[in-house]
Amino acid sequence: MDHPVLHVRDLHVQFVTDTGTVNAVNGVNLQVKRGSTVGIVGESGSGKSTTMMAVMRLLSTGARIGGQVDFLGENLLSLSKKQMRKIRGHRISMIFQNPSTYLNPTKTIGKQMIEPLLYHHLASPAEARRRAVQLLGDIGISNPEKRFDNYPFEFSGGMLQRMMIGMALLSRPHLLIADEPTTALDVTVQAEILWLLKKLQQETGMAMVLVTHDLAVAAQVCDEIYVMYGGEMVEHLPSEMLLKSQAHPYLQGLIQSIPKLSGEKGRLPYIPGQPLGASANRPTGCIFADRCAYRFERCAERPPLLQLGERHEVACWKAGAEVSV
Amino acid sequence: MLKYVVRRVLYMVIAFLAVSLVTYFLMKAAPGSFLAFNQFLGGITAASINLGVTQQLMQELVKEYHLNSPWYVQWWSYVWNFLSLHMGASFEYPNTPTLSLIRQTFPISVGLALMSITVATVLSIIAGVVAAVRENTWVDRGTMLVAILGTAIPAYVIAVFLMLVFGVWLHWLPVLGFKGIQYYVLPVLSLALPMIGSMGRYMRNSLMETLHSEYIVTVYAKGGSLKNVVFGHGLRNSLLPLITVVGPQLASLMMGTVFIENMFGIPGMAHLFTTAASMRDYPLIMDSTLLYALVIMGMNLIVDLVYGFLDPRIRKTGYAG
Repeated sequence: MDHPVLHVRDLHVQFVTDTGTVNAVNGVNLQVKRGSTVGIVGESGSGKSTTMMAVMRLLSTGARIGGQVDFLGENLLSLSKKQMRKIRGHRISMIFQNPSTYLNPTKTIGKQMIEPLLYHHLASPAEARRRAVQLLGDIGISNPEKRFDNYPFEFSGGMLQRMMIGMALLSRPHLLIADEPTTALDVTVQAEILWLLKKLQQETGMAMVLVTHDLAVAAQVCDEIYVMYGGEMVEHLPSEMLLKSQAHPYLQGLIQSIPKLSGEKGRLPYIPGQPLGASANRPTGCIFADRCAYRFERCAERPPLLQLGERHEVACWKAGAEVSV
Repeated sequence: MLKYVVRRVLYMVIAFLAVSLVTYFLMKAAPGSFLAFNQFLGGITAASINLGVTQQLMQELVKEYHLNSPWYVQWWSYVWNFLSLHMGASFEYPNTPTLSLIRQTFPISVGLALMSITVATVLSIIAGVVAAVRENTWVDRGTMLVAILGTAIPAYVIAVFLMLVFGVWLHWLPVLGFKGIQYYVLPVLSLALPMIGSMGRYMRNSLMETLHSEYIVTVYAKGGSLKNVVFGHGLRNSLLPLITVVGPQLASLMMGTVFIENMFGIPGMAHLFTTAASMRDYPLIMDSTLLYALVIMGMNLIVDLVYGFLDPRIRKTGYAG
């Protein structure tokens, strides 16, 4: 059996603030297999970005992280700061939502791009430059030799995200974490960037985690999808099952609320109520029960992840009961 | 960029004329005149006044400086004489052209100011970086407390303190006179220490803000260390705001040198200027004020150009983001 590249077990993240403790991530489990793409979907504040920032150990010093993050057989949470630094940008790379704020405005594209190679002593500055210019050309930046010396403000949003992807892949990582990589871009550019990511993944064989709130994007790009709600995983399923066999009432609600281009116009369905806050007091029962239309007595008890089929798990008593019947 | 410089120089011309007008009227509004002071002092100890301005010389001065003409003629003659470098004679030193008085004293003051601002900037950057990377620890609070104490105490009090400790008690450094590099140490420190308070604090806050920005997360995600983050990314971007406070600090430094030069017996421009002001030496007051104005405005222009150079968005397009 092939070991997963990344195996997150029972991950907890708490932020201790002046106004109290915030439970951002509450016992998340996920696996990323070699060469595969895993999507993490959920609404804002569901803890999906925090989960991946915790994997990279990029959260502020006020965050308390518990659980285990195995990456190629090593628990990242037990590494020293220096050992962790050797993994970031070399074995695991990360790209972010808004490339224009995630790049230093006063340093050239090229200088920022080759930094992973220089930090990890993977190439001399001249060699790094040569490789970066070549990669810029490969990922569709025209005139890369000249563009290398441009500043971020001279690039468009789509070009910046291409450059960020190039920067992340220059060191040939085993895993790329893409945190909402296309959210800040317009739809046509979004498709180009996703296509580029898939193409590069096939070429390099790396694994990828795509964090997004966009179910359509996740369905197109990912092999498997994890759905987060209130800092917990509520469903895990292969992406081809997303539209047909989704089991959790929350995911069903999300899919119903996607606008359709064809058919009769009407009021768009939505999930009533407010998302679960990240305060210290969490319900003892199902975290979605307050907003759920199918709620019954058993929901006062917290459902575990129930196996529905191969690679399909759901944290819901109703969905679990339907299968076992 | 050229358009920007031209516009700035135009503003400088307007500001320069405004300064000259204000100075002229303030000077005239001050009670007494050079002649009156000298007659008064002369009446007590005629021999002790080495200048002994004669009635005839005074009339020449009245003529040369149009002292009986309407105000705008007088004002313009000061400005024009200054600009054309024909500054003529001061009342107090009628035999030495003002230009050569300035030439003797000005470099001393400028040297003192530049040394002080350099020392202050370097120490501020060090204090700011140390405090910012140790945010909210005792290192941070301690550094900032010392910095604030420096700001709260004026330069002339620090000067007395330094004189007492290093001059009188320890006998390490001279406290009076101006005969070599060791004479610079205490005056420069007296001027620099009060500036470190505000500049160091500014540096700390600016660097801290930079360290909390999103592109710093990217640097860490690339595997950068704290050293890479501070020296490769943070420092340069947080120097931008610091440079804008250096300009105004230079202006207040010019005032600081007035006390310091007098206290340490340094024969600089500020010393010359205070004597001129107390003696109502009109030409010398006007010439030194206008020179100060030019220097300060020039400094501010240089600061803005350096700012533009450090920020590629301004350098390449003329606008910030």
